[in-house]
Amino acid sequence: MTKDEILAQLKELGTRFEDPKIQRRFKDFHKTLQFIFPDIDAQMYMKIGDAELVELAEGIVEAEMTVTMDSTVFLKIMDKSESPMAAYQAGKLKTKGEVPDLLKLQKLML
Amino acid sequence: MKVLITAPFSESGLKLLQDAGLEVQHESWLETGKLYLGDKLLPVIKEGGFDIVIVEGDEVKEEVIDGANLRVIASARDNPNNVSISAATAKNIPVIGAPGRNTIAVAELTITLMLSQARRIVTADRLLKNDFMVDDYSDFARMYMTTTGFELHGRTVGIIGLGKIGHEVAKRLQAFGVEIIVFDPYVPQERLNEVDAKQVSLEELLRNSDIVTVHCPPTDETKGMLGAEQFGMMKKSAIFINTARASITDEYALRQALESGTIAGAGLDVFSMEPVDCDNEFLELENVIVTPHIGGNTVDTIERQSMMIARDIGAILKGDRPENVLNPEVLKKEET
Repeated sequence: MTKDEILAQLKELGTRFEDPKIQRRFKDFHKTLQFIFPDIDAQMYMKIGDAELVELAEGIVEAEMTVTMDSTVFLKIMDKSESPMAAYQAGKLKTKGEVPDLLKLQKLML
Repeated sequence: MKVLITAPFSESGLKLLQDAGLEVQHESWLETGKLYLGDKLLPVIKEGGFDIVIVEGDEVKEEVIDGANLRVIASARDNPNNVSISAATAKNIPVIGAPGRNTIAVAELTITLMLSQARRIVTADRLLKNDFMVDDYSDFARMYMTTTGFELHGRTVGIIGLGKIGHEVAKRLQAFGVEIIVFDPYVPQERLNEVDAKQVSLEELLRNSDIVTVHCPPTDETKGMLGAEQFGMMKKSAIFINTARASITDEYALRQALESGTIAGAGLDVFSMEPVDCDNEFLELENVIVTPHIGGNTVDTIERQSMMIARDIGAILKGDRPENVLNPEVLKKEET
């Protein structure tokens, strides 16, 4: 998987903010989510502001949440063939951040 | 020695630990609302000078085990994936589990979901709570039509996985006069005989059961075992119960089967996204009963797990062999 493909998938993830359930959950939520994909040596970040995708770009920034996984795992999560929780339990997805933020993240990713 | 308990723990379990001379600090996550992930538990252990931890969902992995000086790690789970057993073994730390702590609770919830679906208990409750009024006898008739159920007696129940929980479910089902068929490639005939059950293929089970209930563990072999093809084999009138793990089913296919009327209904306690809340997509379906992974959530489970763990910690302290140690090689090293 290339960096461009990952960015496209993350943009797709950003469209999930249009879902009223996601909007309600991310209301007044202003945080940055860092993605690290070790297998393709890529780092992307997503700034979320009040249930909207404010910025999506390549690079490393100061973030409240960090998710590390191979791009193949990310792809499986995006096409719903693997749940984020199962990937986490299998050690294929690692997270850093506060539990309430990670719970929100799970809702966004599934 | 000091013990930190973040798992729910009963008074009798606490007393057993205290009687063994341990200084106990109990901060159940049910009361604190905290979940320690990654290395978050490490500073708590170090600052408190704890020698033993008893957790439920908190993570005790490499970063915690390597940074602390723990004597025993216990998890109030059957098969804890939140504890790194290899890291504990490398440091010669026994890991205690609580296998079977929730077997009866889950079996009873399974029966509850079967009966609730068969007798349309939740449908009836929802109907009445949604301003149902009898202004005419036709309203009364409509209520009866909506809530017409079926008896378990004489029906066929298919059990996928006759392990501890599946076996307890089968034992309870015998009282209802059902025919029990089982799909479990690993079950010996003797175990089937104990509950008067017949081994069949998965396809045969799905095609012939009025109720299908899942009790196999989440493994690579069982992952996605029940998908669109399998739901398509089930009777249109069949009820599907899952109190095991969501990964055994293709959740999307299950939803489709329930929406399209491929199967009649479901009782679900496990989901790919947990903790379950009001956003759960199955809540949108009238023919599904959703419970938020409460299979093991009984006071009896807490009492059982507390006593199992407290007894095993007591045994280790006395130099005896604990019953439920997950890395027995550690004890062998100590014994030699």
